[in-house]
Amino acid sequence: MGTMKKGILVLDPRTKILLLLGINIYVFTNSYVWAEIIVMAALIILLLLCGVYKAALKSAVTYIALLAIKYFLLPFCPEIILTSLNIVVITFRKLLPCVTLATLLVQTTPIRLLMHALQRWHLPQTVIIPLAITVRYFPTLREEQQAISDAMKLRNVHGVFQKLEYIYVPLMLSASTTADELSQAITARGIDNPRPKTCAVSMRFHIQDYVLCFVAIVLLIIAFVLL
Amino acid sequence: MENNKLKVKDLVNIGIFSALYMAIAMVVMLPVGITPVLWLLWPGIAGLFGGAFFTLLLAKVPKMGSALLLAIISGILFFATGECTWVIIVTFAVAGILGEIARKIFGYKSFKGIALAGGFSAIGFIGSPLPMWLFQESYMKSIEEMGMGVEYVEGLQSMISVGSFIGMLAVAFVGGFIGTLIGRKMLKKHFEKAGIV
Amino acid sequence: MITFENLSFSYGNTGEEQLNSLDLQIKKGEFVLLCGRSACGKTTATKCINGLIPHFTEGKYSGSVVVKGKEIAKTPVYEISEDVGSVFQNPKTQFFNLDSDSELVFGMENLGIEPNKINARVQEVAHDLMIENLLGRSVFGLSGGEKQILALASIYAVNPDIYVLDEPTANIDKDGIDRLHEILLKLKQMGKTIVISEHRLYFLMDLVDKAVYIEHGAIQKVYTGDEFRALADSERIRLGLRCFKLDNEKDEVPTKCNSGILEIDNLSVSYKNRTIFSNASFAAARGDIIAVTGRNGSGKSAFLRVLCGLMKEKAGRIVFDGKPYPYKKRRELCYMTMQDVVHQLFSDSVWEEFSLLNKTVDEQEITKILRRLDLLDYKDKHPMTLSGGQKQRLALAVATLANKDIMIFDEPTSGLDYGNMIKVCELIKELSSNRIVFVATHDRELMGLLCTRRMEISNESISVYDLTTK
Repeated sequence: MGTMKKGILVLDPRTKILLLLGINIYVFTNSYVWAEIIVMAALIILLLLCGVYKAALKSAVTYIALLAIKYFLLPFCPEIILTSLNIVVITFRKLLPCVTLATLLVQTTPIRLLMHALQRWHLPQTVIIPLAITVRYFPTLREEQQAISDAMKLRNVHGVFQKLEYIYVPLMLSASTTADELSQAITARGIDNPRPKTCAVSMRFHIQDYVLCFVAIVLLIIAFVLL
Repeated sequence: MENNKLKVKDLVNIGIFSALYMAIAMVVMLPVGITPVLWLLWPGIAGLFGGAFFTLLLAKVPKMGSALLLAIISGILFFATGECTWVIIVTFAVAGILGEIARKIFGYKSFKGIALAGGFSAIGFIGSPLPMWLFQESYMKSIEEMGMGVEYVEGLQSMISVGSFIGMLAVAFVGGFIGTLIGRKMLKKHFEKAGIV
Repeated sequence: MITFENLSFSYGNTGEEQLNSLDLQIKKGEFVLLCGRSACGKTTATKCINGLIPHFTEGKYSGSVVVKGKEIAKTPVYEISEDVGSVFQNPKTQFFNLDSDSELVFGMENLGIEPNKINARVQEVAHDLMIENLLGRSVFGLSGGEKQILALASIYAVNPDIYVLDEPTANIDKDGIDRLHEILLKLKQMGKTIVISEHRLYFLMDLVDKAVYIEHGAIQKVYTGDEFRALADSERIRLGLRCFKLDNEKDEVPTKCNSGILEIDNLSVSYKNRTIFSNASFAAARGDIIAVTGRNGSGKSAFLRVLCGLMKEKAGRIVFDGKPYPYKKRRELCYMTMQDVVHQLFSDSVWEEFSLLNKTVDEQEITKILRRLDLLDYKDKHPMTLSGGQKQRLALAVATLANKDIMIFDEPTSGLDYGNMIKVCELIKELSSNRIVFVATHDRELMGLLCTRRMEISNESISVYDLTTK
């Protein structure tokens, strides 16, 4: 989570958030498959330009697979599963642009910049601080869960309920302790200083940000018109 | 009284327990893609498994805002990671507000408030399958394109209907509610004894 | 610079550290050590300087602490943090950010310093403290020692006059300790005032200007640096303090032992596509207490997990008593206590912990071991209410009754004071008489007292030494 991808194109975090919102709205405007293909292609190119190669490839492959299922598999499916499978496949396909853009956001933006972007938009510290902590805790959580499940293997734990209890309880105890220790550390570093916080990295809209935002707005308008 | 404002310690607790709440929800989300029915059940299941974390958080931070923040953070992060669309921010915001109202009415230290808030909070998760109701036109179109008959339309309508929507809401609330009951048991057995609450 | 006047404090809950009418003066530029047994009050004292007491932790507070003319109880913590920088014991829970660069600027951003000044300062910090190799890295990729150095550097960036450190070496390796010493020396030379609470004393003996010995929350004695350094060993032990010099280290000879009841045969271990070591072979016999050493991140944990049967080896075999044991079966042979005690205490009472072993344990046995480790009075208490040292002893008790042939202890003495460390040593020595014991540790004092052999993991291979007393 610490290493960010960087490509030829570097976008302001706010652009990425706005694009994500835009694409989210866009997928709800019912458009034709060809429009969908164009948008997906554009997104994949965007990802490639921003240096997110693996995810771009994954998105492309997934999208093609979903299209292939629609045209080549579904018509031959047995009745019973057809309706559910159809719904699932279509939904995933429609949501894929959102997932793709979100991956771009997550893999090219350090959490600190996202927090500063939200701060610029006047989101209160009361929301920003816990949000940052949540994101920061995820990798730790994985380590914790591994350690606990190791410890469990060495002891005699019977039954599903006991197993769950013995995963939940140490996890929560450890989380509680971590919360206390972390709060002390950041309090001692002045996090509740009422002075407005600055950002060491300058965040400004550049030409690519304006261009992309403009293109996004135009696309949205077209999409609504075609509706 | 100064004590009702959320301090750094509270915010950190909210952050950490939101991570736990979301993590378990994502773990139980794995089998969801198999069939829409499972997806409709997901809010209830997520609420059930996340209930313990919810309960401990609200017991540690018996102030206004902890339930709402948990909900908003979940919504924002599910959206930002692409797990869900923007719809989830709205559903969690509503869920969080309802939860806060319940807590205000019953008192921040009362368990009734926590249990109701837990139920409401789980409703936030419906933001994930909700797009299916909004995509109905697409589903219809594809049924037409494939030249399928009336049975398929009916099948679709039974899966994604007002009825199933209400069912999903009910399952979500009940799941979240029961989740907090489980959390309460754990609280009594361990956390009160350990002096954490 | 810092004045404690008649300061008393007790926590909300009972039984935790208290301070009793503390009077202490710390001058500008002094390097002050706060020492004493576990739970004597030294950590509480440090929190009174950085303001966490009384602003963050609630309790009964009387008397006053004045830092640079400001009374702590009346000054908000963020204001105090401009003059007092704090480094805490647990490297894992100190950081707000996920990457090192963000962490370095965190303090400055909170103060609202201009971006240009911030970036210039980062360069200065990197240069002054020689931490260029820490820039641009994920916090999770850093070793324990590197984390503490980063924490210290982040404080240095804000440039307070006073540094307060609470057991910073509890979880770091030899290299980390050496680097920490370097930086502390530099800070001292710059005229900074440093207050450090520690168990591990040997690395800072040359820096100490004043040593404050605290017992039961009160200052027993204040020594000057020279007086402290001149203390006789017997006196040091009476005070319950860890060693002042690492002079009990044993001689090492590359091992010639080729056979034994445990045979590691051409073992290769890798973790996440990284080779920890390949084709390692050695043998161990009952009675061996083998220290497992290597830098943070060298793969000690991976080896221990393979040994214990929690992770599959890449190649090779582990043979015990003539029989090869595939990885899952090794769990019958081994038991491991983990570094982070919290992860392996599951029950709601000390007594109940023993019911989770893979066999039914005799009640008498449980009573015996609890009494031996001074835990019998706590048998109905929840494990989380125990102090750090008590929790570690509980984990040890459970391990003892698990009664496996191969016992593995991962950092059993981190953060323990002298008395507890000795208790742990004695117990492990007894256990080893008919078992094989592996102890993963950075604690060189422990190694000197306890271990008979040493296994080092580095450069993708293993070297094994036999240790003999000089």
